[in-house]
Amino acid sequence: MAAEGNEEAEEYDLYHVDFTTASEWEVFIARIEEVLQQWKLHQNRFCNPKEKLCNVSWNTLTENICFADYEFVITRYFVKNLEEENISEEEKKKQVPSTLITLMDIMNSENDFIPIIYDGDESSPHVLVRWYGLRDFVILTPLKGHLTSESKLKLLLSSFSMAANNISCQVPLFVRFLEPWQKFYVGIYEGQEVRTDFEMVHLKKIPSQCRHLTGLLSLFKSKIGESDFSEPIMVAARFAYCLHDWTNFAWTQDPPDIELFSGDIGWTELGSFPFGSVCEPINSITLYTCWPEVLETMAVDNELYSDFDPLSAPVWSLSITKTDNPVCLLTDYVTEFLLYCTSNKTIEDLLGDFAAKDANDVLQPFSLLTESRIPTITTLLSQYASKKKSVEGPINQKLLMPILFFLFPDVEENSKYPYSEEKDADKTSAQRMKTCPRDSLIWRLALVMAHSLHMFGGAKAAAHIWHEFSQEIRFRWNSNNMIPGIAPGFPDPKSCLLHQKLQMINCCIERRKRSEEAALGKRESDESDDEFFDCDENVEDDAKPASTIPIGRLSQHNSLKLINTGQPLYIPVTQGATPKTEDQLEEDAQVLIQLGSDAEGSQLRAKIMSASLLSDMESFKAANPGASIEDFIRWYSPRDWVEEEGEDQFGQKKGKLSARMTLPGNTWLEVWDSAKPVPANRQKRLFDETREAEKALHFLESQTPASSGLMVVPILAHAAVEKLHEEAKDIQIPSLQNTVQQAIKRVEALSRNAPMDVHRYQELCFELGYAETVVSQIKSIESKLGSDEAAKEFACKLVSEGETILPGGSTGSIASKLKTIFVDARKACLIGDLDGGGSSSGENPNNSILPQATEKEFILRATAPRPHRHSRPTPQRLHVRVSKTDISMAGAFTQDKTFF
Amino acid sequence: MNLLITLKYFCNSTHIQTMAGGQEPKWQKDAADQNFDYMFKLLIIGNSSVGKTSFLFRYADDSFTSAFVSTVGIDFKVKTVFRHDKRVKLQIWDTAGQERYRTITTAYYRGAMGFILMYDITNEESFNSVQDWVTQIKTYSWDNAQVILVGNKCDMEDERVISFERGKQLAETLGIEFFETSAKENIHVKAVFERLVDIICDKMSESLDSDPNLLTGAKGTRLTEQPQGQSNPNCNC
Repeated sequence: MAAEGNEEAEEYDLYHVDFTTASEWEVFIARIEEVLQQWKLHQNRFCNPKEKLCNVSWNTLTENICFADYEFVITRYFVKNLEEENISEEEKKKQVPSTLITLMDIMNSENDFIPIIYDGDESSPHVLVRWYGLRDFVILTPLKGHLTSESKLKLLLSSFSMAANNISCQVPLFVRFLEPWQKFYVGIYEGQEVRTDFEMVHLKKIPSQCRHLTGLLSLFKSKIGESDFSEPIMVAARFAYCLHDWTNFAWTQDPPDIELFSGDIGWTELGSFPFGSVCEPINSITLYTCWPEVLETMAVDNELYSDFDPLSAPVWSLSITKTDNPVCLLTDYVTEFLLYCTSNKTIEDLLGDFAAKDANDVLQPFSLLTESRIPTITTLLSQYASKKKSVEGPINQKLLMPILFFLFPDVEENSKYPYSEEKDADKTSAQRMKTCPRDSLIWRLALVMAHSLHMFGGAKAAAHIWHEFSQEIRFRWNSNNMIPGIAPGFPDPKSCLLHQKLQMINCCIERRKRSEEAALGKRESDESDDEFFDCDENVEDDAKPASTIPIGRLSQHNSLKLINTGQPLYIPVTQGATPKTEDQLEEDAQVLIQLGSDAEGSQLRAKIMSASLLSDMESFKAANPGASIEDFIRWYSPRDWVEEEGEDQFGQKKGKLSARMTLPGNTWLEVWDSAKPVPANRQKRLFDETREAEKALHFLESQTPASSGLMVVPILAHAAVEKLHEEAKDIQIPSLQNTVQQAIKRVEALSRNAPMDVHRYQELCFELGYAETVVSQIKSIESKLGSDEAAKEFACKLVSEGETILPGGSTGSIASKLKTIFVDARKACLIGDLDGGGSSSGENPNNSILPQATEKEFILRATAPRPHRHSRPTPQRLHVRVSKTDISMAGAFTQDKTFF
Repeated sequence: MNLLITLKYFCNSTHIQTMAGGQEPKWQKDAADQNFDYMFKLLIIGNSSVGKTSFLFRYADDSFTSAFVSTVGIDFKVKTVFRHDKRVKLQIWDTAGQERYRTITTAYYRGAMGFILMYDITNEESFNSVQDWVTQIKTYSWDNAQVILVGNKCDMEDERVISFERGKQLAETLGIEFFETSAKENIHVKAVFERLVDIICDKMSESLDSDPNLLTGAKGTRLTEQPQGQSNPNCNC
């Protein structure tokens, strides 16, 4: 046992003695290999070289890696491949093994000038995709700081080279060198018997020979070596022209101005929102003129002469840079209004004496609006008097009157802004919103408040409008004038609470008018003026009311006769239904619920609910003296009358009450027994219009500025999304349309949410802001480049997808509009130079339309033998980007590894 | 007429004594009864004497009487059911069917998430009125309220005048579900309520899926867990 134990121990020691002396470098290389193998970059795969790189989605994989204690991040960028199963047989045929793909990509001209979007030092896709057309590559970057030492770079590349050879890695490996903004990448690719070196130059000072193609060609040739070129060099070129100065073509929306409203014009503006961004939403536009494939022998481009005339370039494309978060009017209005809804100022804080004085002064200047149009002397005098002492509100009288005429157009004889008579004119989105009809009174109120907030003096002005509004409603009630621009009838639970309250007041005014008319009519016919009559319908009035004399008849029932007397049955005049607003209904329901769900509660509920039954029974008894409950039931609940065989003495079918009606002690019998014959007009009123109107008026008058804002905010939001929908409806950008629909849905939901939460409207503001910005961008582009169908489509693509090829190229209608803008900008620039005394240097004398190119890009390609003329011909590529401030060259030079 | 005033009026009369005499007022008990995850407000509507009250009593109390007092105005019962481990409190409003009560009852349509629209299979007129009731629902209720058509009194086969097929066909044209029931024989009563709760839940999760931000859209639903209240104050163990 002991011997065995020793043996084991020895084996253990042997096993763990490390005979290799692994250096940190070797560990590093091993780790690289490990990572590359983990990403399966050593295995043979297949890719489709025809797959364009501009419409694909990119994936990244990341690992941390250390060289001694220096930390790196190693990242793989690659095109997201379809699932293996999803690839059809046909597509499989197009595929090539991954060992070839890198070299094919370098030479593939289809992926030239892929648009990339920069975000700081990052970009998507990676810049290497643009420079080399690669679809799968690995980059090593220092975790912190940056590499500047040439020797360290060489060491890393050697490591890569060894690792790649050890496992036969099939993708190029890069190291990021220098500072991130320089985008300096050096790399290698170890292929089958060939090696490609990816080298870079980045210079601030641009060597003169590098500004033009001719110089670049000679540079490329000398780099490849003194070899014969079996094929000419292929060139692709692209020049960029940037335009910042819009001269007359700027598209901005001016916020409505108080000046607008000083005259007669501009009042229609009050009824809608302003829309669009106040600054130019497109920061700049860049024109790219592109020559996709040109033989080196076909083009001359040097300091003196260039064949690259941008105006005749075969491909023109455009890209835009958008202004960051431009201020947009509609969004701004809504945001501002929401802020108003959260203020905790009282009406006294905002209006001070003005509000207090108003409260007890009936003859307010505005109240006069609804006075009789023929002024009496007293009103004129008091008007004069009140004007003298009137304290001006935040909005001066001159401005206020037209606003109020706009809200209450019925005051003017020939108002320009009457409320439309049409009911339910629009059935679109309005149906699902719990707000109010479009362009109705409170719709206008919402907009006027928003406008006031924005330009008539802020919160004070908005509070003033609300104050005047509630004063006018009070005046309407006092003077028996119906409120205009409110849907007729009972409070509509599908409209917002404010609208319901106004409907309620209108109901009250109507009732009172009718009862006053009835009272008046009665007085005329009969001098005895003893009692106030609530009831409206023409009462069959017999002078001496007694229990035997029928009163309060509406009409004779067409068949029924009273069971006891054989007299025809008369339908009585009853108290009309009671209008209620939703908060009152809610209150009622709560009362009923609080009674509990047992039998006792149920009984109590029946008692409460029997008030109208009692009223109807009393009216019935008054109209039909000598009637029994059977008569009442036959009229009121015919299904509870069970007919039997045979007829009674008056020729009616015999019958009896249903079982449930004869249950002893049931509510119906109880109420019948307690009912006295009283006509509806002398009963206790079920609906007291004075009381209800006062309640509704108090509701309006007791709102704080913030709560009045909350009343109005759903309507405002409704109007805002409607405006947005209208502006955006012709723009075919799916994401925009989605946002608009989402905003509409949100307002629908929010409008139905009873306890108003302003914070939930904030999300609406984001949606509005986004959509309004996009619409502004589109409108701006359309204003510059035309608004026909093709231009519209182009504008949508440009905004939603980025760089877009111009339909019609350099000769199309969009191009001609674009040229005009460039010419104007150039003129403006020249004038500026002259004014400034600067020399109008003819930087680009050959080309009077476009300014000097802001950036030139060239891609040179050739298949040439390296390192020696007898080596195998291999792909060579150079990408050059010359801007006004720097030049960067990225070259991929391949050489034969086996022959020299 | 203001109900609160009426209530006060009645409270001053003899009736309140029975209520205030023994224990604490009812509503306090009710307010504490918050042991549910969702609350659905349902309404039973249909012509007079089609059996709405009987139907509700069968479901809520499992009792049946041949003659209930004709409902005056509106009444309600509460029943809590379980669905997917959630307690759903049903507040079921029973309405008067008489024409004269329409304006009063339609006021309560607001906020209802489900309707049981009932006719009597032995009564042609009640069946003919179904379309009218649907119009009422459309006019006064929320857009997404769910409706089930119910032909009641299916135990009275001898007096049947509306065939099952006619009911079914009508329901199909209206795009709603259909059941024939009997409150007396307890046929399909529970099924109707369960189905209604199911379709309301489905609809709700649908609208929640489409936009999680609109989560608390419907008032009356309690989508957040209720605090467990004093669920059982008598349990001292």
